[in-house]
Amino acid sequence: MPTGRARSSDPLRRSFRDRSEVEAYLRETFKDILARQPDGDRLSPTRGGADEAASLLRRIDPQGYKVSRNHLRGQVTKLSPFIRHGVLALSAVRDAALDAVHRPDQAEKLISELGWRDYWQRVYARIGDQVWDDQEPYKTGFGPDDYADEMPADLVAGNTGLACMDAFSEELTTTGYLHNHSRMWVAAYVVHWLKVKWQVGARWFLRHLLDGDPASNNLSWQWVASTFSHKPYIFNQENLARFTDNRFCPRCSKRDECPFNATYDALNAKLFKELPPAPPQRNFAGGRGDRRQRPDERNRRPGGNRGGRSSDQRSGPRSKPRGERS
Amino acid sequence: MTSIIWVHEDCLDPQSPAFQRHPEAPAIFVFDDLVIRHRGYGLKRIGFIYECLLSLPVTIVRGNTVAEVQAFMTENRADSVISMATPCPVLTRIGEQLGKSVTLRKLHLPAFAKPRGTVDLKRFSRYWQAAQTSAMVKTGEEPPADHGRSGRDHDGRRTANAGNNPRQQRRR
Repeated sequence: MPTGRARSSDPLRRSFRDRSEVEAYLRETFKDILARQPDGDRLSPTRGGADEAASLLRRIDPQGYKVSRNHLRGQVTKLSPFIRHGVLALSAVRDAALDAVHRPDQAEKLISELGWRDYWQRVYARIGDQVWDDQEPYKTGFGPDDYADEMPADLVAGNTGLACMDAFSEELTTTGYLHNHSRMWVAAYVVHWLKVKWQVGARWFLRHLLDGDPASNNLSWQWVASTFSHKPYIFNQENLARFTDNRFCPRCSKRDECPFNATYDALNAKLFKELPPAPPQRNFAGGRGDRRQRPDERNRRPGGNRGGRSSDQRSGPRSKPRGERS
Repeated sequence: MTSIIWVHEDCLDPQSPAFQRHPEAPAIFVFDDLVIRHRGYGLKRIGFIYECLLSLPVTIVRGNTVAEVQAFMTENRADSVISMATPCPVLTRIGEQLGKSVTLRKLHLPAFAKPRGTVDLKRFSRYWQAAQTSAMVKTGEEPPADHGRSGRDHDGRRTANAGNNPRQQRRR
């Protein structure tokens, strides 16, 4: 039996009337820590708890996920925060996915996305804190010192004038969630257009994502940056418009000077010193896809765990959190 | 032997082996200031974790994890700690520090996949090639013997589950 204090600290409260009471209590209890955080932080619309996780699990739709996960309104599972914090074991989600289909192959895409989470955790167990280090050199023609050490204030504030990026920034900071594809677009914009170190963007995501996990998040950012993949991930306006129902461009104040409105060849020439070798033209969701996105990379997203990260949520760029991306 | 459960943020599952195998053991979760500051958690994340904790039979405190767990053991006259394994280096270091003064037993979740042989983690595709067969069956069931398939890895190279792919075996 250990020696030391005879009693642990006073336990925190467990009974509340509603969420507003939980929020007020946590604001008071953690005020010293929250004072260092940006103003305006609130509870996420995503409620934690085993009942919430079970409810989402009952609605899991592997076949809908398979065909629509890369679209912002696709059938993603929203399970990633629960997988990240171990409310649900990966094996339990896999079992539920198999129970929801007639044949195992109908759940294969979703289960492979869960595999990303398992993969990142295995890498994490092997390299630990080195998830913050470049795993490989950049394949962009630039070195680490060519990338900035701070996030641009206008992106953090959602005030760039780019309707898509401002919307993603606001969604991230207010809800603690971003669709996997949005994570990839933001990560690519931060690293390749703004020339900011992936570590800086990764910290920003970890600060806000409910499913943020150092392994899934950082390694997905590295996948976008090309320090954990053989080429950088980029996208163009056509790709973004396609998977967002073109909801941003018509109202964008910078639509006539959109930095994403170009062919991939033109973007490669503009963004990188050395043109990466042309990748095999593989599609991503049954059609024209991101230039570097391969089918098994689809749900990589920065941030979280793809819990089944569907292209849904799980932690990244090129298109992952995994793992928890679902 | 009397045990307590140290619940940490990587496993907030009421069905975890720690709770299933030790339903009578008192459990504690510590909001560790150093961990929260290190991670940069704000109200969204703290709130989510807190709401998950409200689903668990656990005493929630703020403080230093090692000191709080030790005090909780004293209160409960416990001589060992049970916890769930995690790859997180921060939690692992806390566990190592705790283990210097108490007996710490780590339990593992049911495996999502059981890859064959040495696992190559250089790229996901190489891992998945070895893991897919076992990942595609429910917990407790055995995978079919011929579930292998071929594909391409992230670098565009053709891959094959050589152990299970009859065509690959014939080529050899």
